[in-house]
Amino acid sequence: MRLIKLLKFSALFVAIGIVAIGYGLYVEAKLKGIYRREEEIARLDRDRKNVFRSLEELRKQIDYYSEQYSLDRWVPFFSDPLTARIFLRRHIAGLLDHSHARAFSMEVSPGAKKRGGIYYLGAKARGRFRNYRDLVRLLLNLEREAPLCMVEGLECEKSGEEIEVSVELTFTYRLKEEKGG
Amino acid sequence: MKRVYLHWEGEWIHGLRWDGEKFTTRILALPRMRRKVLLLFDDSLLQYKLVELPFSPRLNFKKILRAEGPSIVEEPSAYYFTGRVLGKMRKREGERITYLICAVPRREVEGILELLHDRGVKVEKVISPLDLLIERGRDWAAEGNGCLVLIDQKKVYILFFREGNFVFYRTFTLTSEVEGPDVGEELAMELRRSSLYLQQEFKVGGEWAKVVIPPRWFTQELADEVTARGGLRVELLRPPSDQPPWLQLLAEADGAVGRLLSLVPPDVKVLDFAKRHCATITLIAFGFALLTSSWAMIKYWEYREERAFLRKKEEILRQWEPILQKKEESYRKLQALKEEAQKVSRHLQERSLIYLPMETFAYITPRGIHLKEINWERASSNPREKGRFEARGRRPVKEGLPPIPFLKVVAVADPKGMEARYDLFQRFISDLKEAPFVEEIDVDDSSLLQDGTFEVTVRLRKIVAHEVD
Repeated sequence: MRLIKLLKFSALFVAIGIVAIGYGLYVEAKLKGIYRREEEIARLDRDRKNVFRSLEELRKQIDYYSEQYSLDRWVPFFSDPLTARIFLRRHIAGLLDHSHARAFSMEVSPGAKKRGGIYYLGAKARGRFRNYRDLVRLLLNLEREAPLCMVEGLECEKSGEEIEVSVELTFTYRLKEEKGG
Repeated sequence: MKRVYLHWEGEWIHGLRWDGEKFTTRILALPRMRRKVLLLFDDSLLQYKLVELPFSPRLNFKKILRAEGPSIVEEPSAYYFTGRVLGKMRKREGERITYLICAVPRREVEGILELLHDRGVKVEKVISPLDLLIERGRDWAAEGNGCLVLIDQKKVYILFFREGNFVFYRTFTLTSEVEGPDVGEELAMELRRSSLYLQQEFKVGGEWAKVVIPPRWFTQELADEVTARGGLRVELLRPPSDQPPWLQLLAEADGAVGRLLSLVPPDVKVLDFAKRHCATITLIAFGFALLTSSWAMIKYWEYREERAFLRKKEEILRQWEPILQKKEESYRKLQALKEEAQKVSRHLQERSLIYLPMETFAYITPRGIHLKEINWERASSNPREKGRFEARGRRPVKEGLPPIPFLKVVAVADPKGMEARYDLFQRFISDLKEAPFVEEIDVDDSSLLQDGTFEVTVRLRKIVAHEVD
């Protein structure tokens, strides 16, 4: 008792010190929790930035591929079959002209077969080509450029300096009133 | 070290400074001194017991102290017990060990320490006078059998030694006047009694009696007189003087102080230490409190700042949510696009890709061969074409499978010479067989030698475009 009385201030200071250590350790533990959470947030932030960048990149690619891989591009919509027939005539005429075909003509079949919501319209084009390269270009344009015209048959015959060509093809289209159906 | 030696006797303090200056004063009148002191305790307050036991290495002194200490005094709780080994002695019954046990009154020892502390005196050790005399006496009683005599005014201490080993002690107070005519007679009688006791108890006869620090009145003549009357040869170890004997003894035995008993109980020692260093302890404790509090405060500020920082970060993180949700539409669009692309891919699979073999034809047809006709039908189910392959023992076209496209080519080999024409034809056919789009070929060369014309029917390999993943 005498010792405690003698060292009462010292004891008080020591007690303050011990309480301060206890409080400091408590705060330290909470700080560690905060640091852990900060690390987690930094990681999440990094992840989200990466996701954001990826999605942004995706968006750019989508714009490009939407155009490239749209069914509308390859199998176009028409308001009625007649419009489709007129378009096909113009389209084939354009391709033949682009391939330097001469004296060309074409026949478009009067009716189209329907399969899976897509109409298949047959046509036959004839023309004369100065060289083989123009013929190959026509075939390539028919099947590689949109809208799609599938080549079903081909007859080529050398006629003098030119090649007489007859191409059977199928054009695919959809009708607008059936869209979404 | 410049020590001061103090001897406490009742309300008096006798002192001896390191430079030989002696003083005597009442305790309460003791001047303030900032010196380390060795304090001889008032011997009249101490109780002693000599304990002699057969020696064993397993002897536990603390247990002995606990067992023997309380038997010395009537009220053990008021005393602090201490002791030490005085020595070992070989006797007829075997080796014996002797302990000195001392009972120190707690209240008195605390009281004197407090008084001295109040006067600024730092007591280094509190010593028992008897213990000091025993320790110091070993040097003087190294040989033979005899006793050491110390006379402190009228009190006489006689310590008995057998062959240099301390065996027992006795004290008595002179009844006659110290400078009177009867003191010699009384001393001689006491020495004779002591010698007889030594003879009876330890079976040895006393030879000498050495007076350690003789007082002024104990002259050589008196020593001779006591020798003549007492039967022991009385020797004076110092010339007679007025020096206080205990302090003189203590000053001379300074080096042996470490071996002497400390009469201060450990708790009193702690209390005394605390008293002496109270300010320092308080200062250290204050420093400790200050440091730890500062550390805790710094941690708290750091915590507060980090918490605010964390909240901001969490807020920023939350802001990502709507942005990402908006962006996730791109992902959904991509899914839709994938489905659309698969549809497109499936649709594009329907292409004949005839331009690929047609393009390749241009490269594999050598100079000197002219193509006259090319006929191709995608869905050729012409039995004539099929029949031609099967008739020649080739692999038949399987029924039920999609129609295999045939490419029929009519060509002319230009060279005039038969051999050259045939070689060119062979080379063309060989290259054609190696072409990637060719599954199988059938050649009609019946007119080759006649006009250079030949007909090739090619079964085309199916070209499939990969689906979009």
